[in-house]
Amino acid sequence: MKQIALNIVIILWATIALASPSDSLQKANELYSNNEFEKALSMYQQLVAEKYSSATLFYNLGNSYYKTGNITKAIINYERALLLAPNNNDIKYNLALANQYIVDKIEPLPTPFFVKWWRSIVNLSDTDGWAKTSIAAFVLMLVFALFFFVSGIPGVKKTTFSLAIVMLVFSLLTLLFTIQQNQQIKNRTHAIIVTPTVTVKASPNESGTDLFVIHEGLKVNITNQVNNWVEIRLEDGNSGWVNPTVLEKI
Amino acid sequence: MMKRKYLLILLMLAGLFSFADEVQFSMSAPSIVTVGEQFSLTLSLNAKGDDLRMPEINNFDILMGPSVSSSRSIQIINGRTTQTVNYTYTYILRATAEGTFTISPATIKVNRKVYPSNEISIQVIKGRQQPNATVPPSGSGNQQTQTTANDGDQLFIRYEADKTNVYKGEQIMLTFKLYSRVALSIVDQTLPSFEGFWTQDIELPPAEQTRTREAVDGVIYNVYTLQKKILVPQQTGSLAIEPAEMVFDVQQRVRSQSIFDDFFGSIQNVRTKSKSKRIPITVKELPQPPAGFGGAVGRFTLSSNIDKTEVTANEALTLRVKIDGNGNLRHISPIKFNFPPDFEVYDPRTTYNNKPSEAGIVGSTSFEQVVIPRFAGNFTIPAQQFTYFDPAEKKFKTLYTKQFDITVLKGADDQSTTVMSSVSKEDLRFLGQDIRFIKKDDLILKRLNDQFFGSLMFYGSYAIALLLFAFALALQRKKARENANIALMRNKKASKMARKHLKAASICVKKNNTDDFFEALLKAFWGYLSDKLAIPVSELNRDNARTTLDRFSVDEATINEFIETIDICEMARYAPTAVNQSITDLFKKAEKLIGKFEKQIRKRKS
Repeated sequence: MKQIALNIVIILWATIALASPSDSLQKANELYSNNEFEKALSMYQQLVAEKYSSATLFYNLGNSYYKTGNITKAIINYERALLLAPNNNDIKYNLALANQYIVDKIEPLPTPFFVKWWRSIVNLSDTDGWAKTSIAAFVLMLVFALFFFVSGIPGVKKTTFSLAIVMLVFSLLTLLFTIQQNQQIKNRTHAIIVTPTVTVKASPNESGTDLFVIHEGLKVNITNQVNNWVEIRLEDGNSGWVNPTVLEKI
Repeated sequence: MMKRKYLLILLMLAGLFSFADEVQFSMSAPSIVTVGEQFSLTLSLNAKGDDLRMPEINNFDILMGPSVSSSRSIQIINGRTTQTVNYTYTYILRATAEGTFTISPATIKVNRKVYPSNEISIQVIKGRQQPNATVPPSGSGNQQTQTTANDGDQLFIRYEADKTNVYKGEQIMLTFKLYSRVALSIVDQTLPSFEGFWTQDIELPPAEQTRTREAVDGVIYNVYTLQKKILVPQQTGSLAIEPAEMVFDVQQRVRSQSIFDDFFGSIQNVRTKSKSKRIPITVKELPQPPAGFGGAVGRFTLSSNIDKTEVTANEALTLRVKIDGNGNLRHISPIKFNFPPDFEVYDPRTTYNNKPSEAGIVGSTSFEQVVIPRFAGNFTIPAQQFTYFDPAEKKFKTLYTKQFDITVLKGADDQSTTVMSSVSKEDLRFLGQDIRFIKKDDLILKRLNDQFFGSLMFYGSYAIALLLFAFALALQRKKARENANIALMRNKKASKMARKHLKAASICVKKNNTDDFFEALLKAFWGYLSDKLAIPVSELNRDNARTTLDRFSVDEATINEFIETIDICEMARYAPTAVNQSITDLFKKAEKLIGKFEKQIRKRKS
């Protein structure tokens, strides 16, 4: 009798262990569809805790947070999803909607058009997308180079030479994009304020002059870190020091 | 005699004016007395009557009576004269025993008709101490209170609440009463602020008129109702009606040494303070309210109507909802209807028509809402629920408005207001805003840091591509080298082969075999050029031979000579007679030509 019970326990444990992350993601999605946001939320959280990652997972987790009223957490997860899928319109839309709940109204500094263009080109794809594009361009470059070396016809030689050069440039450029995207994901220089209200100091200690007050949900850029204090910069260019516990890195 | 005459005139007058009012005959007495107390029983009649018959009165001694008094008043308003007469019969009685006794109706005859009075009941109590005098209807002239009486006994104030354990929003009737056995005047009063309650005063007649008698611990007091309030608790928990404080001047007789003073009485005002008791009130939270509950507590009925059900577009409709009943009518929020989105909806107007009364706040609250349908069509305004809490039955009840079906016709003046008759366009109107739905198709999950970039695969791809490239290039190079070797071999063999063919030709010359000679000569030329110039024999013809030879910097004369020889050879093959040169000359020429080629082809044009 005891043996059977033990067996059942082992089988149950095995099935739980065997449940693939995709299955539990699908289950969480179903829970969300049935408006059981709390349950869906905990399943998504479980997946994130197991170090799984995808734009969809973070996006769905953000939606669950939004539906259960935790706007700040929703913003953090939308931002994370956006890092993995920088050009996804749904994520952008929901993030914009969640950002309407933020108290602070920050006017971002105007960015030069070429920076904007550069960023929008870099954000056309994610790290792996650019990496694959770069490799494809490199392979094409080699193919053209081969034609150049093999062919004896002057016209073909001329065309393939220029094509190979173009492909080489393209490959290097996309490799640059890849590295940039990768740094965005790896460095995580941005953070969201998670404390309802935060006083930003002029220097990295408690006695520093109070500069300004920001509120929960605001996105800030971390520019420096000095013994348990971080320097943050807002989108409007203001910067100051805060305790790292008030923010959560994206 | 004189009296009779007057009476006659009076009767005639009475006949003239005619009794518009009914005859009213009523009996009244204090509702509560103590044993031995004297009190008056009054019968009043609004006409002249006779033959008053009193019922048998037990348990009471009739000390005096009946004494009759009459009053008459004549009113002339705008020439109309009205007259009222009042006759009062008074008995002075004294209670002899404790208990509640009923005095049956008395009868009287008016115009030969018998009218009965009402029946009254009198409660007789023992009384804590024997009052030595009747409590008078408070007149300033009588000072019959005992000087020895304690202030607390003589007067006190009291709040009375009809309930002390209520639900939030339930009405509490609060009465503020003054109990007194002495003549007094109010000097000052401090009333509580009723924190946590919404209050509404009930209008009362002057305190004098509210006087009743009530026994408290066997002592009969005159009771004056000073205030009546309806309290509606606005928060839950333990609330209280804080004490009220009043300061009175009580008139007291002072005993003095002087006989005269004692006889006439010396009256002194004594300042007395009185404080009411604190009444704790427990306010309970309503049980789990259902959805759509707006805080209405009481007992209500609901009616709803709409002024039109068929309108043209842009014509206003008025929807009315009326909630009648008894409860916190002032705290009912307007019912929210789900109007079709294309309707222009104005804010509802709320009208309160209610009055606080003894029964609570009674009346109605009406909501009037104007909507304007902007587009033609058939619309439905769905029934809406109104939920309230009935504290008597301790449960929620729901009433429903009617469902209205509205037909909106196309307005005739729709287009006349606009100059251009164009289709009206309007912006997409958002009815709500929500986040977009989750993504359900992409179920691929990756471990964190598990990405293609930077992985072995990534660098491997570059390496493999480069390796493949190098391999392909090396292969091609090797093949090219091999090809070049074959050409070299053939180049080297070319003159040998040519000599071989020429040798065959020379044999033909000896044999004078013309056909074979030309054949061998052509073979010698084409074979030589094919090997020398690395062009397959099948692709060789006169034109490309000329261009290729030119590229190999063979001079023009030699090329022309070669073409000429080829022409002769080919012509001779098909028409041998046309050739006038001897084959020996031709052979020599061919030998010379090959020699020239051998010299010139070596230096190739770069």
